[in-house]
Amino acid sequence: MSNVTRSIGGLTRVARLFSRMLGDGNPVLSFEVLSIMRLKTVKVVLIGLPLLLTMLVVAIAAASDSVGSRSAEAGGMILGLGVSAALYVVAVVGAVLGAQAISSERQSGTLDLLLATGMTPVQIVVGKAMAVWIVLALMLLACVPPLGICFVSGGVSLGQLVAAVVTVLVLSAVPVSLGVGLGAALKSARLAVGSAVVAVGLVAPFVFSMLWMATLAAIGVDQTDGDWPFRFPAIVGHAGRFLVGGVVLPLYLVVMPSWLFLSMAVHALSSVATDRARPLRTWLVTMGPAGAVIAALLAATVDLEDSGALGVFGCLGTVLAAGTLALAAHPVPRRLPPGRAARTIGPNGDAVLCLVVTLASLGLAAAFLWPFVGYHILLAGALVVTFVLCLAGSGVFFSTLLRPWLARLALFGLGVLVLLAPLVAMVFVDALGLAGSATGTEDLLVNLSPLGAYFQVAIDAHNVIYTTEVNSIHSDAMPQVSIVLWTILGVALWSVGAARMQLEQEQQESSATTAA
Amino acid sequence: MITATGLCHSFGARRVLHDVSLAVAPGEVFGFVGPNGAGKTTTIRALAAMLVPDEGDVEVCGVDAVARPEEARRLIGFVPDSGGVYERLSVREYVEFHAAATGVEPGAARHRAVEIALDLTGMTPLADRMCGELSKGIRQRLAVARALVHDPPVLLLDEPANGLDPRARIELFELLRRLREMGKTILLSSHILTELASVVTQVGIIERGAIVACGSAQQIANALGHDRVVLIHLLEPAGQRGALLKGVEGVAEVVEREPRLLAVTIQGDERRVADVVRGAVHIGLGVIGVTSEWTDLEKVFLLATRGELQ
Repeated sequence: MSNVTRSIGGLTRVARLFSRMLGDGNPVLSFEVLSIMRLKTVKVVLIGLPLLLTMLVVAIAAASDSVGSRSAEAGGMILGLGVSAALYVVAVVGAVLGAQAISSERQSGTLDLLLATGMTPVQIVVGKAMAVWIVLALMLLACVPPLGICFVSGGVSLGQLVAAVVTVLVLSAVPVSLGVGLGAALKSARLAVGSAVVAVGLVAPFVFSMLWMATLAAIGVDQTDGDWPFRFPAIVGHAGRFLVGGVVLPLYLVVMPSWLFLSMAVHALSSVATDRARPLRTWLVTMGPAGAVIAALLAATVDLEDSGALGVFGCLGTVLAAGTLALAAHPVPRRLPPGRAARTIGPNGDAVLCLVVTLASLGLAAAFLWPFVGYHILLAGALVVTFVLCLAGSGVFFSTLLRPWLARLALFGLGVLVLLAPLVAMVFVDALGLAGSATGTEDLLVNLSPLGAYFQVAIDAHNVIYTTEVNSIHSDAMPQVSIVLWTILGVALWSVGAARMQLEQEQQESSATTAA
Repeated sequence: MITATGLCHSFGARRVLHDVSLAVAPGEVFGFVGPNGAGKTTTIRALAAMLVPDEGDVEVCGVDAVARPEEARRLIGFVPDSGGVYERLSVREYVEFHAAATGVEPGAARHRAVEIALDLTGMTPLADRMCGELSKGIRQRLAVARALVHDPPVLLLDEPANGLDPRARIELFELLRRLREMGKTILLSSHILTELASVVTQVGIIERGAIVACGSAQQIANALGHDRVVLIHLLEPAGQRGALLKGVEGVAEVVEREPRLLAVTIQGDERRVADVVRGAVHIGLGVIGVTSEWTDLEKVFLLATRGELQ
């Protein structure tokens, strides 16, 4: 009895905490909803979107009648196209509203006042994102009547219609989070909204169509050819795997990016709250390992045969991109803080340490769960660390030679060069007429770039999972060559740079002492 | 109530605060003055727990504002130099939002807090107006209402009179006097020294990121070692008897500015002023009033600062 009471008490506490986060405990949520609903644009979308969908549905119904399609097919088509259109509009509107949520506060000078109330950045970001999400939910609710025609037309069940709308709502969390993240990170509201529109408007059709086709498959309206990397097992057809394919994978695909973008927003607001620039590396250091744990946990529940390995590699790629950004934004300061040994390297050292911790946790989790994939993941992780180490070493080296802006430019240039190395290599292969003449030359050149080798390893891992050719794992030694070469270069640049920095600092201190 | 000790802060390579220390006792109104770019806003932001200084401590009502910023912020009503409003909320909704955000209990308590804040600042007639429609002066009053809604013991106002027309400025300083009577501890910065002088009990002068003088205007003048000029108002012209005052200890100069007004330059503190008044009475002058020229905050400010470009 006491256990039951305790459990109920615990649940009550959790519910109270949740309501405090979202309800009265978080006034940003309720007032933001009120404020957004007063926007003319939102009113236009709330009325215009259902009208647009009605027109689309009527057009599809008329077209299917004229070609004599079965009503079941028409129902599927209405659902597919109608919900895709709703998803696209909702994604773009969500990104715009998300981007405005914080950037407009910054621009109008109310962000300081909001932070001065004692609300935490987490409360503010959660409140803003949830408010936009609630408004999107209202928009989707307004879309249900026109979409309901597919249910009337037949071939689609009520459950499928509800599942489709709920999926759109869940997927819309990604553009909202992206918008909020950009709005918090960028100083100009116009730039934030523009970036969000470009990112979601251009990328959404590709990403969401892939996800959406998979979702259609999941709810029994099969429109996929079967080769999409993120193929969802059908919920209806594979009832036993509902948890894996129908819930965990979408969560992984939605929760991971949303969490990353929202944590970026919290990080940016923390900088404003303390008036202290907190470079991206701090976000990376604090969020990287935690993200890796979540990714590893989610990846552990995903069915490998479907997309687990590529999902994990996607996560590694995210870390790689974040690490590169962090390093390019923060080459080592020209003068190290007093009392700090040059070899500790400051920001870049932190970023590299974070990446190592992140990748090691991912690699170990994966290696423990799936030895063969784990091998590839560790290999890919080593390539990422190599790449970052090389950039960090270059950052140290350039900082001692060049002015800060030139050092940034050089670092960025080197990063681009390394990223594009496979392309450059292929141009040389063609120019020298080596293509096809020497077996493995192209592979060698591609593998000499950490990124090229990284993708080779990812493809190998994917093939291993699908073809179970375990013996082929050790056949390709090129990534190891790349790891060794780039590590040597990175360490060399780092050491030379650190030595120069130490020398310079000693000279400055010595001249200061002499002057004193 | 507010204590800052050894605040140092840099923005990049530029050091903006050098060992700034100040203390404001409960119920005091502390005027924080200094040239543009002297470090006033940075100091106020550090006191409001909106900036973590490189070095130094800030304590507000016994709460460490560096270690526990969120807790400290709830004890402070902060009006920054350039704060906006939510244009799509009404005045009442805006104040209500800040009441909720600062943790005022919902229901009757919050409603009462909002009404009191609106009433105190004279915003009740405009409560249903949208914030976007308000003029600058009214927005500034709204900012004070927002800062007061959670009844904080401490108010930090950074240039609250900036850009206001004369009427709005007079009304704002009248409001500050009422808040002083209510026992609020207030720290405010302003360039309008004549009006600031009518409200403040203490003054801190900052220049190039360092506090150059702190105390009452008179104390600062004394500390700066400058002669004070005391104006003695007489019942009848002093004639030759005025020159006799030169014999009193500490008197440097006596000038008859008007037939019944003597300007006496004195080296020393208030005791010397008392000596001069006693001396005037002793030599038979009909003293009907004594005023000091050095209570003028503008002159104190000019004395304390060098006016270098920053």
